[in-house]
Amino acid sequence: MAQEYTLGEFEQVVLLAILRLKENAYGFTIGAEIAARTGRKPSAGALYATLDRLEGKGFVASRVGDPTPVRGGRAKRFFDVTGSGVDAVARAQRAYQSLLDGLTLPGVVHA
Amino acid sequence: MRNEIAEWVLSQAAPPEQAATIVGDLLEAQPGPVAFWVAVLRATASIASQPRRVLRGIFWFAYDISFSVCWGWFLMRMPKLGLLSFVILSILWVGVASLIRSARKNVSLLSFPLFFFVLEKYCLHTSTAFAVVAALWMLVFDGWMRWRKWRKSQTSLGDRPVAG
Repeated sequence: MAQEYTLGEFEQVVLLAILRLKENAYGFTIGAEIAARTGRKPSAGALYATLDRLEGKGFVASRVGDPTPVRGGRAKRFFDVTGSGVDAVARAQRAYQSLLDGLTLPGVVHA
Repeated sequence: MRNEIAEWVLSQAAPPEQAATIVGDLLEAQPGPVAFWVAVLRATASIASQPRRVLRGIFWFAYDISFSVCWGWFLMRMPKLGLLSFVILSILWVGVASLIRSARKNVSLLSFPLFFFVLEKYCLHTSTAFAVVAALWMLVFDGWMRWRKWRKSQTSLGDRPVAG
């Protein structure tokens, strides 16, 4: 049986940001969402390298939108999380949750 | 024009379509003029700093330099034999190397040793000539090749509107 791919921490952050943004997930909004939620602004290089990797593994799918004037006539590249992407992020979160069980950390609310 | 230059800079590290998308994202953030260029350079550096790209760049740079030096040296020491074998092997070399690199790029590489040989023998007569010529050659021809490649990729993108 093939070993399941384990998502890295930043990969999970990116997938969760896309899931939160729903149909409006593209480079700029994903970066802004991550910055707003985590307090760290990812570099374009790190973000796009991660998105490409996730797409290569089939965890996200992308589509090109229409060009807009505010972007200098350049099109947006929208991202959606695929079914296997949802499975992967859920599996990673279950692993975190399992590790958190029985622990009490300040500021962390347990589900 | 500014956006196109930024796109070209980014396309040195990222595929052209991705470079265009990143520039769009940077423009949407509406940075100031300085912040825009800082963001472009940071994005280019962060994409280019992926280990595989760096290793590939180092490999091809070493290949270019060693190839040019070897042929330059050979032509200087044995001009007649060197020139004859240079012509014959060049044809073979272009054929073989074109399988992995563009033929046009190899033609520019092949002409470098000849250029170096002529300058070293008849004009400069100094060991620093190599460094100067190599640097200029790499800058001019590599820059020109990359610019052409980028322009070609732009036209192949179809009817994508360009910033007004």
